[in-house]
Amino acid sequence: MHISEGVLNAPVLIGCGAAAAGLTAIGIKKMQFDRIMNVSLLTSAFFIASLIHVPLGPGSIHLVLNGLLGVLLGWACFPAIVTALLLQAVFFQFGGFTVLGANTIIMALPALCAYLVVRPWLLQNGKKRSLAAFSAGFVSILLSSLIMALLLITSDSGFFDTAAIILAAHVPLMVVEGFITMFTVLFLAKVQPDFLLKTTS
Amino acid sequence: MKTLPILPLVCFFVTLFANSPEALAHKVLVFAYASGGEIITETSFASGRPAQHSPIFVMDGDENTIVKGETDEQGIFRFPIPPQALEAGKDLHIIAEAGEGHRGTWLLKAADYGAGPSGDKMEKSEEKSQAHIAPTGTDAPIQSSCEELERRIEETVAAELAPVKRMLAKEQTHQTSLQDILGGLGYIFGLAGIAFYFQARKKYGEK
Repeated sequence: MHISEGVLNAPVLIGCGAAAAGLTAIGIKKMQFDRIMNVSLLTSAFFIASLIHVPLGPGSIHLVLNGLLGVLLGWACFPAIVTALLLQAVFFQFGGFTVLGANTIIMALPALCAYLVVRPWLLQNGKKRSLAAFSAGFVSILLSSLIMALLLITSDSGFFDTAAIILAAHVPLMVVEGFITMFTVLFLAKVQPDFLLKTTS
Repeated sequence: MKTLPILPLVCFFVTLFANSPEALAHKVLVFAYASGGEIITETSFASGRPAQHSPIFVMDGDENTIVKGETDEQGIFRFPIPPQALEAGKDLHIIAEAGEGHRGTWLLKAADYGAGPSGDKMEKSEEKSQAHIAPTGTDAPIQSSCEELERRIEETVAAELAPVKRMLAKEQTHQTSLQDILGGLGYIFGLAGIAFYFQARKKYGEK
């Protein structure tokens, strides 16, 4: 899901960079600093998640976990994801530095949207919580693939069939992330409700 | 739902979708080396799987695309050394695009594929040996067997060296290691520590 250096053209990179910077600034402002440990833990999880390959047919799936971060961190998911992406670029050469803004928009914006939509249901016990968490994970990856496809189309390295391929290829990941988000949220609700219920932003 | 076996369930759903289309990777690794008058490029994903049917573009220093091709089932694309780049001693930029915005590059330096003023050493030594042998009637069979021998030696050396060159080139690609993971985690918690410090100063600093 990370776009590499040199794929997107300058206007797209600058636009995404500006948007990401703005939203990250809002995220930092809204972040409650006494919950910083939660943010760090989830940033670490996101950082490592991309290393987990699950072989699938001819290719493999790499976890993203942006839905989980969105749901648990809210606006703070922007600084968390920016940090994790930057470190992934430095240490793993995933993505890149000029594309940092674009990759952040791809991964953090859907997370934030999922949070804003789904938050009320997460606070309620039972089926609503499961459904909310699953949809957050599912829809985050769906929106991420859409944004990624759009960005690729703008830079001429894809056409509409590429968008369809990208979406189709990510469907298994949508389902997997939906379940991971759901199980994690349910687990936290049982074991450490504070993590889930107190807002981080 | 007391203690759900999370991991087995996730794996179960993952294997249900065993017909997923091509790889969703995060990094494309490409490296190249020269052997036997050809340049051999190998492209794979971060997970180690070969990148199949990925377009490869070879550009010279002036951003002209001189060779275009596609990787095969093992992620390999080979092409003969371009003569104009060989003579001009240009570095080659090899770019692999594995689709969905993933792109890897490798710089093959002129010296690494025998280009430039030092030239193709094999050819020069052949010319020298031919100059020493003045062709006459009786010498002709000896000359041709000398050439044959040289050719065979060249082939054997190239065959032996190819895997070594491949290993050397592969070593230069960055494989993610435990140190990288620990490094990243260190920075994340370091940043948290700094944030804690500033927050504590704000809360208690003025007392």
